[in-house]
Amino acid sequence: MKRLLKLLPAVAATDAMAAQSSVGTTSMTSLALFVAVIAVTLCITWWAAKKTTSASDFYSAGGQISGFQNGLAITGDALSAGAFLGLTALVFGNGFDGLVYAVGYTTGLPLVVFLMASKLRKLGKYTFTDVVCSKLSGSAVRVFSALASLIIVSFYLIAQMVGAGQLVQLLFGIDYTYAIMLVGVLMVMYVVFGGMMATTWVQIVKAVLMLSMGTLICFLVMAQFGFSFSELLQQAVAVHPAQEAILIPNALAKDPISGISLGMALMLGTAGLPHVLMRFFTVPDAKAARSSVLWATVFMNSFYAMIFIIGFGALTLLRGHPEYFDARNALIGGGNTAALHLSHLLGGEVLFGAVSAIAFATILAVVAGLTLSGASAISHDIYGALFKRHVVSDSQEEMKIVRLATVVLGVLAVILGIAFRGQNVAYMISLAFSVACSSTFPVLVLAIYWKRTTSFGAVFGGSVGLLSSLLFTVLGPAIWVKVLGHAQPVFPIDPPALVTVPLAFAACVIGSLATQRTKRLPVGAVA
Amino acid sequence: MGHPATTDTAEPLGTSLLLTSVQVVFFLSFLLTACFASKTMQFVVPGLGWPLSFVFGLAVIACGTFLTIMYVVRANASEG
Repeated sequence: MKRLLKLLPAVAATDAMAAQSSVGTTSMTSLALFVAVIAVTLCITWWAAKKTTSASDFYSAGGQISGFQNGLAITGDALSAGAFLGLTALVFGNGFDGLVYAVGYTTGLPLVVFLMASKLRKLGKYTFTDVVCSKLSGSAVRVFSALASLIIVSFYLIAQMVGAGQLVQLLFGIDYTYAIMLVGVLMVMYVVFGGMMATTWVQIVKAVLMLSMGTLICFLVMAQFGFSFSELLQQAVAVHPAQEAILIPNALAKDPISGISLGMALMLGTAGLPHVLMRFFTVPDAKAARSSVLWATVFMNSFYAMIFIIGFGALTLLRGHPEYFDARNALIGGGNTAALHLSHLLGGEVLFGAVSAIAFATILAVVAGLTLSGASAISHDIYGALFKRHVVSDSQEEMKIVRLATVVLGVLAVILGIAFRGQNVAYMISLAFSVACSSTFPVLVLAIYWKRTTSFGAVFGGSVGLLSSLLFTVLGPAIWVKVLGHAQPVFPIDPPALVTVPLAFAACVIGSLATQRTKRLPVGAVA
Repeated sequence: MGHPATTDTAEPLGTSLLLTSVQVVFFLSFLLTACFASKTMQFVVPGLGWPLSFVFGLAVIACGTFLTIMYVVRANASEG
């Protein structure tokens, strides 16, 4: 997972780029489309702000988003720039090994709809913590769920901000610090003024653009090979140094245990991400919640299938054009720019500018969703439910708190984004996935399905999963070896999901069985 | 005390678990083959001319999509 997630942090500095490449030079087309993206998203925010008058509007767009719209918004929320640029880069460098990630990412959403989507909508209100607290009583479980959400969102947000700064600098020539501040200001504006409505429509616009662009690039790639995928693969084998080895997975065989653990994290991580789960509260009913996952699955799985063509298209076509490579025979701007170079090769400045602008829109959509999710955990779960128990929903006071929380979170994200400049922060997204599938996911599943789950069991098991996933990631190859410089990892499985997910479930069950007298709330009651 | 898993007629727990199992088993088969028998993925599928790795990978994606559509259409129809 970390190799894929290295995309954004790994993009190289602009001064490393040659003059012939569009990457790193500021084209007027790119700048015009960049400004257009900002203008369109601010217009959406202005329109959404007029509709956002209550806490319900702010947190869940008043529950009035249709299943189809929410499906697009989930697509926009979940498909980060890494899914497009990072996967293409992996396939460009390693062939089918990159596609293993694409396949893995498609397995999460079906589990969400089979096990969770309609239950989330029926039992929750604004955040996934509401769902857990509809079954389990006590402040501890709410605090745990809110803190787990914040930890997951924070890791994800910092990684996205660092990547955003580097990508915007790379694509549009804006200084890293200003790029981070620009992204920070825009994401705070979307959320503060437009709440969930603005965030939803920014995500919808981004998803439509990304899917359209992916389809166009696929068409242009296939046209180069007479619309024969076999021909594409044959030519890929002919130009890649590894030849036929690029057609099969190789990396997983070298460390099968970590490979299986990676598969588990890819599958279950999605089902524990707070900013994705939050989207199920924006639709009117359980039926629409299920429909949203149906549409999201169709859109996202189609996009991941497109990566088969886009990735191998980049692998094959770019190798025939030395102008995209530097003196060391590496892609100008780093391997993660493969999709950008491919778009330039296929459609010149116009397509390159469009893809760059879509990458920027992608960043904005993802960070807006993360910020809203984090701010909601602070205002609704921690402040609203714990410190102001008497606050009624839709109160103006809660609106003020969530807006303040958004600004604070935005400022923190900018500061941390600047502080982590130049750092390899890929492990933070790995941490987010590990924590999600080892803490929020087990707690949510057991709270919904196992009626003997108790508050103590949920907090105990969730905490064990959270802390063990943090600890094992620190002791693993990603941090212990690559960041801290030790020769061997203390804990070799990377990511640690294969151990931490069963551990969290077991701790939940043991903790619950040990405290059976703790009372569960009646079904449907929202704490 | 009632429980949604047993009272929700639109989403019988058995169906949810069955489809989850199918999805997990299918993905796990792909993963285990990639981990322990990756060379078998070189087999070229007759008629398509593509290696098994691509067909298997796309089949996992198609499986998730198909199961999701089937489940949602059925559950939403049950709910009326």
